[in-house]
Amino acid sequence: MTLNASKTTLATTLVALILPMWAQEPILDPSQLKLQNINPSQLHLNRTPLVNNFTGTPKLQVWQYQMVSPRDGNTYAGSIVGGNPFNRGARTTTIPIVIIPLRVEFTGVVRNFDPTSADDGCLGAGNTALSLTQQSTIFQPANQVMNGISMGNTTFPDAFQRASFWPSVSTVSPAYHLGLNVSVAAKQTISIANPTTDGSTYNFGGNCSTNPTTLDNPARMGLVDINYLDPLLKGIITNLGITPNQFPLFVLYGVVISNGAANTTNNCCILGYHNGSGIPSNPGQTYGIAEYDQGYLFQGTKNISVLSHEFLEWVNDPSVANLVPDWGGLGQVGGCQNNIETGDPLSGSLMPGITMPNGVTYFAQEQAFFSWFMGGPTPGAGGKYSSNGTFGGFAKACPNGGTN
Amino acid sequence: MYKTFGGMLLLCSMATSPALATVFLIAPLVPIDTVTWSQLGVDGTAIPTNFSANSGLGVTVFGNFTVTDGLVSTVCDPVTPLNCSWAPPALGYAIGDTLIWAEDTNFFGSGPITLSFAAQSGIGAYIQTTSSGQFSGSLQVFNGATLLGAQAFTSDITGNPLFMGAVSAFPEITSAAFSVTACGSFACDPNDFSLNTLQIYGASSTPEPATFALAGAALAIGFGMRKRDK
Repeated sequence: MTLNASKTTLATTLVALILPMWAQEPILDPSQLKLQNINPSQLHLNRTPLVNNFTGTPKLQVWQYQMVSPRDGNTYAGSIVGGNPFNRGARTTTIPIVIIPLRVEFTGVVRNFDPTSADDGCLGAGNTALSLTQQSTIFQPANQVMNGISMGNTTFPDAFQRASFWPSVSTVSPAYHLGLNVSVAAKQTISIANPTTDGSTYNFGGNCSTNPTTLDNPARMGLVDINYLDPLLKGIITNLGITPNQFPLFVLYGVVISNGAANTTNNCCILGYHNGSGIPSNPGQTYGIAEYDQGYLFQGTKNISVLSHEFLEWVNDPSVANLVPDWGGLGQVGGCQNNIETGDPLSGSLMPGITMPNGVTYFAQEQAFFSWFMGGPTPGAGGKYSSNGTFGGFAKACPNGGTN
Repeated sequence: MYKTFGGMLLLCSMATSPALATVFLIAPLVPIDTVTWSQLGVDGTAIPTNFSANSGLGVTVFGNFTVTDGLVSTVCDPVTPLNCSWAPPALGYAIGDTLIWAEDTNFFGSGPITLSFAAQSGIGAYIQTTSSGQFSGSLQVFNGATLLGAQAFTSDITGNPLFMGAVSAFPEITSAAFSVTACGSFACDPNDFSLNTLQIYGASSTPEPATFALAGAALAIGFGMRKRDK
């Protein structure tokens, strides 16, 4: 549910990162960061209703399931965004997606990060994180192949959902599609004093950016405390008049999130997360945030990998409460987790690249099918339990975890 | 007790009718006329709450979705499932058949479906729920506001299309309400189903071969019961 990377090195290094006000950013080594997992409950994310939007209408279009998990014999129920891929009558369910570019302005030590501004060194001339996101395989159709089976000329989210339930989709419900009606909201800006526990900036070696620090998207990394950020996101959702049937997706660039004080990388780094204010049958107001990845700072991430991770996790667990038997010990999950977060067990594993008409080769993240969490014979395309064949069996019980 | 209707050779049941007997059918007769729904548009076309269509012989049928509105749906060819939204094909739901689908633009069921027309001797249609699994349906037939009869039907365990029909001794049926009363799968919406071509029967309508087979089986069972009674 969150894509998280954490510094793993010595406490001595961490102490050095507790920055005095007005200090220059420390120069750090990106290799000190690695992916790991934190559950939303541990993140203290506030699941209280968003203003006007908890029981608001129209509701997010979901289909509900209930099944006995072959892994433990218990019954689990939940909901998944879109229409039911097992229905005889099926059609494209079009979900309104609102991309919200989030500009982060650090004051004090001034650094500005903006997904609508250029960063030629990292993104190529003429591109922005926002434009590359819009043109990506998350939102634009491309020839999608999963486990050797063509899912057709469609978006990555639709292809993944079709592949997850392929025996039904290919026979009973060929008209099933997850459609996306994408719009872009006006750029939203948040300001954070730098360096503080709310937010700080860091200087990492090897940065691809060539922008000076006086311009947007300099060769720095911003870090924002999730406890400071999350209420701001909810406020923006309310101010924009977004309704529960819409999925607001905040796009960050050059900025990641910490689980606690941001003036130390000890709490770094959450690259994205999603959340909902409701329950499985009515997820309430859902939302997500993820960074367009520059591709140099974190291992196993590249351009849309984090965005695709959060997007499909939202699709398959919009309320963050689609419970399943405990699984873990894989991807970014060191311990155990008990919900259908399709990206978490395969963080760091990318799908084959797809080159789009803009010349950019996009790398979505490989993700686990529904059947990997529930167990039993897989309805996944190619008889696999994940979208690029990494999982040939379903999850093992946790503690211990792993996969069959 | 047993009872057979040898005169019409129908697998049927007597309705609880206030006046005359209405015979309900679980398999089609040979229709004298049909109302096909392709005239309402291609797959995916919205159908308003109140709509009308014409039979091949010019009978105008007025339709109504009880809740909101519906859609046109076409049964898919599994090999090339294009411009279609209903699958898989089955007995009563042939590839390319055009259905009226009681599901509104917000994906909620909008049934039951009521069809009204000039007085007919009999009508019938195949029905199937949107969600998978076994389901039960009900057909009510009226003469004006007078209920001529009502009958419950149950699909096979896999939920293949279910035929629901009714005939009377003379043209008195002026409307029919098709509904699903129960469906087995989790979160199934009984108001969400589709209806295939409306078949219209006359006094000269005869059972189709499949009906004969079913009727034969029923008669055999009936005679068997009679023997045991003796």
